Amino acid sequence: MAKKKDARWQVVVIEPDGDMQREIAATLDVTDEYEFLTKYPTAGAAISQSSVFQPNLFLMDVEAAENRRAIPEFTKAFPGTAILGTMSKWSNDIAMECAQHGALGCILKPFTGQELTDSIRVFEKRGTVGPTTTIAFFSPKGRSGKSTLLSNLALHLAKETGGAVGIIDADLQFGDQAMFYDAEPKYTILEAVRDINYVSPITLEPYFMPVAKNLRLLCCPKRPEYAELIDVASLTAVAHMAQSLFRYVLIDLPFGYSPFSVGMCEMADIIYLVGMMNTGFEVEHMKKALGIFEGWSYMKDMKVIFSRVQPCDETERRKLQKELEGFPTEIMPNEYLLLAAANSGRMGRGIKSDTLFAKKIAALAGEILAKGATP
Amino acid sequence: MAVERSSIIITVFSTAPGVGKTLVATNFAAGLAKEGYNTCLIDLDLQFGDVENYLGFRGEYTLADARQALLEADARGIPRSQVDMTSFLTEWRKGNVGFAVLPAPHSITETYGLESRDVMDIVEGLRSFEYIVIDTTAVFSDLNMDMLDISTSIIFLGIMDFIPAIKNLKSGYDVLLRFDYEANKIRLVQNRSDSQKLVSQREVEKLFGREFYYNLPNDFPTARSSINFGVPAVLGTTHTKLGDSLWDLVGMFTNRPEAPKETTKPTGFFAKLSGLFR
Ligand SMILES: Nc1ncnc2c1ncn2[C@@H]1O[C@H](COP(=O)(O)OP(=O)(O)OP(=O)(O)O)[C@@H](O)[C@H]1O
Ligand SMILES: [Mg+2]
Repeated sequence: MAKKKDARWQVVVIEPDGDMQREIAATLDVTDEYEFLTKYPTAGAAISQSSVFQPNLFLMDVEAAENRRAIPEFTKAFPGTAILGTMSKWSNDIAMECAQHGALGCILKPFTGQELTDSIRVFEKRGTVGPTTTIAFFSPKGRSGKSTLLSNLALHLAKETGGAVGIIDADLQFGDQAMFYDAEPKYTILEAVRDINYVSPITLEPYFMPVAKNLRLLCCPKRPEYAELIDVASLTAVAHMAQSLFRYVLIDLPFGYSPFSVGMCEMADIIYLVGMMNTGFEVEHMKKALGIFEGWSYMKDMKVIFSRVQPCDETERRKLQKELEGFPTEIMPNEYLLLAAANSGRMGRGIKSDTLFAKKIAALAGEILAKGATP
Repeated sequence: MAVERSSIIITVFSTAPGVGKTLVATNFAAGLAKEGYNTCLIDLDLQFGDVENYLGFRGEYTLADARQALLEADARGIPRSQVDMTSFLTEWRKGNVGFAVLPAPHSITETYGLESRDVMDIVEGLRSFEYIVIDTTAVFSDLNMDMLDISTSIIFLGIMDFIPAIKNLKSGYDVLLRFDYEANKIRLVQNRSDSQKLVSQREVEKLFGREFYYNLPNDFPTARSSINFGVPAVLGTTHTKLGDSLWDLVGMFTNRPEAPKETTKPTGFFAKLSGLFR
C-alpha cells in the first residue's frame, strides 16, 4: 500500500460490515487526499486503539446507536479530529444527533472519493461543529415586514458568524425572497420536495441558490398554484436535511394559521411572530395569534416583533409588551432604505451598520448566537 | 310574474396583502346602502378579520354561529336551505344608512374545520339581498376561489408601489386568467395610485395587459380617521379625496343616475325588515 504522506486526511474507519469496510478502504486508497490507516468494527474498539495512528478523520458508522453516543468521548480523546458519520439509509434524526454530539456531518455509504470530498467541503463551510438553529417567521397577517426581517437577519448571521445560512422561502404562493436577491432560481421548493427521497445533504445543496457569501436560498415555486403540490411532511423533510447543510436555517412562511405554517413552526427552535404597526389593530391580531401558540413557550424560544414602530424606543417597546401581557416583544423601526433595496433586488448588499434597524438586527443575532452556545 | 332576482355579489380580492381590501369592502357596503340597496357585507378574513374593527362594532353573532346552525340542521336532518341565515347578521347603521354585516369568527378555534362548502351555503342563504359584498384574504384558498366563482364581479385590488407586491399581483392575476375567470368579470383597481412610485402606471398597465378600471387616491388622513371613527369614508360629512373616489367607484357597479339621489328614508335590509313587523 503506497504511503500518502501529503494526504490531507489520515482516516480511521469504524464499520461493522466486512464488505463495506473493504469498499470504503478501497475508495480511500484510490483518492489522493486520503490515507486509510486502519479499521475497527465498533467505536469502542477504535477509541482505545486509534491513538497510535494519529488520525485526523474518523469515518464512523452511526447507524449503531452506541457508536454515535460515543462521539463526545471521541472529540475529547482526539481533539481537532473530525468525525464524519456514515449511514446506508439517510436519517435526519441520526444526522441531527451526530451534529449535536460534535460530528462534522453525515454521509450516505457507499460513497465515491469525490462525494466524500464534496461532503467535507460543504460541512466545513457550514461553520463550527454543533447543532443547527432553525428559525421560523410567522405572521398573523400579510405585509408584516417578516420577509425583510428574515432576509436581513440571514445576511447578518452569514456575515458575522461565518457559518453557512440557508433560507427556505416557504411562503409557497407569494414568496418574495427570490426578488429581494434578484435571483432566477433553476430549482425551487417544488423540485426539492419532489426529489427529497432521493437526495442526501450534499445533493440537496444545489437546490439552494447562492445569493450572498455564506448564504443560500431555496426559492418558493414559480407559480402560486404549484403550492398545492407541496405537503407539510415533505417540506419538513427538506428543512430537516437542510439542517445538515447549514448552521442556521431561516424559514419564511405564508401569513396566518394553517396546518402548514404551524407544522413548520413545530420544527423550529425559535419562532418570531411578526406584525407591522399600522392601525393599531395589529396588536389585537397578535394577541389572537399568541393563543395558537399557547403552551409552546416551554419548547421554543418565541418572540413577537413589530416592524415599522414609531417612535422606536424603549417606552414604546414596553408599552407593546405590556399589551401582550409581558410576552417577549421587540420592535423594529421604519427604514426606507430597505424598501429601495427590496425594490431593486439589492437586499444582498446589506444595510449600513450604523442604522437603528441594523443595530436591532445585530441584537437579535446576538440572542440567537447566545442560544446556540447553550443548547 | 316578475323575474326571480338574485343578489349581485362583489368580492374584493387581491394577491398582495394590506392593499386596502377591507377599506374598499366596508366602503362598498356603505356606498351601496347609501344608494338605497339592500346590502350585506361578509367578512371572509376568517382568522384576522378587520371588518368589525374598521366599522367600530362587535357583532353578537358571527360566521361561526351561522355555520354552527348549519351543522345542527345537518344533525337533525333538516335541509340547510331552511336555516335562516339572516338571523346571524348585525345591522350597522349611521344616520339613515344601514347595511347588514356577517362578521368573521371571533376566535381562531372557531375557524377549525370551517369549510368552503359551509360558507357557500351561508352566502346562498343571504341571496335575498340586492348586493352581497365579500372581503377576503390575499391567498388562493378553496374558499376564496369558490367566492370568486360565484361573484358577479371581482375587484382585484392592488398597490403598485412595491416591486415584490407588483410581482405577486401579476402572478395572481395570471392565475385567475389561467383558471378561466372571465377577464371582464375582474376589475383591476389600483389603490393609493398617486403615492410615490418607482414604476409608471403605463408600465404596470402594460405588464397586466389592460388598463386599470379605477384609480383610488392615496389619502392617509381620511383612511386613518375613517378607521379610527369606525365610519366608512363614503359616509363622511365633508368631501374627501378618498371618500369621493370610493363613492364614484361604487357608482360604477350600480345604475346610479348622474346626480345621486339623497336618501331621506331609512334604507337597508333592517329598515325593510322592521317595516314588515310594524
Ligand atoms: N387609499 C388609501 N390611502 C391611504 N391609506 C390607505 C388607503 N387604502 C388603504 N389604506 C390603509 O392601508 C392599510 C391597509 O388597509 P386594509 O386593512 O383595508 O388592507 P387589506 O387589504 O384588507 O389588508 P389585509 O390583507 O391584511 O386584510 C390601512 O391602514 C388603511 O388605512
Ligand atoms: Mg383586510
